[in-house]
Amino acid sequence: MNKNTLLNISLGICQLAKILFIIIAIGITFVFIHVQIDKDFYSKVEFGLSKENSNLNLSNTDLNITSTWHVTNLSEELKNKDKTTIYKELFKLNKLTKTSLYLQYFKLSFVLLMFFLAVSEFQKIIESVKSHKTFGIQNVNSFRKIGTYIVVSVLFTMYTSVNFEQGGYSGFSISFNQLFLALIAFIMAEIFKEGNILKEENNLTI
Amino acid sequence: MSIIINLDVMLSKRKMRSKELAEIINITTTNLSILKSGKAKAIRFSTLEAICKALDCQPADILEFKED
Repeated sequence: MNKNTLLNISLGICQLAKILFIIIAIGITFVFIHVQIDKDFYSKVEFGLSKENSNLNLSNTDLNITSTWHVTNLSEELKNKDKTTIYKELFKLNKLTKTSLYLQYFKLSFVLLMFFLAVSEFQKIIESVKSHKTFGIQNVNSFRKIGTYIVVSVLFTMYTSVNFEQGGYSGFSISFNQLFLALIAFIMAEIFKEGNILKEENNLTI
Repeated sequence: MSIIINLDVMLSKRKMRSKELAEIINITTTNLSILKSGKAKAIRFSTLEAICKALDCQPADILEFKED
């Protein structure tokens, strides 16, 4: 596979990812509006969060520092049932409080925006490599921006608090996958900075 | 920088224009102007050799060291 084919494939993937982010953003906006108009439509949609109370738990490279579920005003009928059934019954999208719904929507939208911007910067880097401007200062800035976007999205998603009509969830978790990606982006920025210095020195050698 | 390029002096001594020299030693006028202005970080032996040949001079006639 020659260099241009690889770069073209990467550009295509970036473009696809950006389209996907836009579709997801439109999708969640639609759900966000629709859930307020027709709540009953979402009566079977469960809210996907880890339903175990924990302190310091490492799962799927995410470090859950604390996560607690709480249930209030439980009906007599549900009291005798097991935990999973109660959670399934209570923590549904239609039972989400308005504040939580807005918070979750803005959180998701913001994270999507951060990823969209990070992919756009990566696309710029690939385009510059394609046009033989690999070690330009703009690529150093692009890698730094990618790192910053990822760190901001990690910080933004660190604390989760979701409240339902009868109970809710709150917890702290850190995504190591994303932090590792941010670290790689910052390291790449430093490598490209060195490359930029060498390129400038080479350009000024007559 | 403490290394001074005296290319302008040599060019006027030989009554040669920068464009002419650039053509003879096969470098761009932009690069020659970088060299003349002292912005260059390094000079290749091959370029120095070509300049000396074209201007019929020694490297010391072009390069000079001055304490900062």
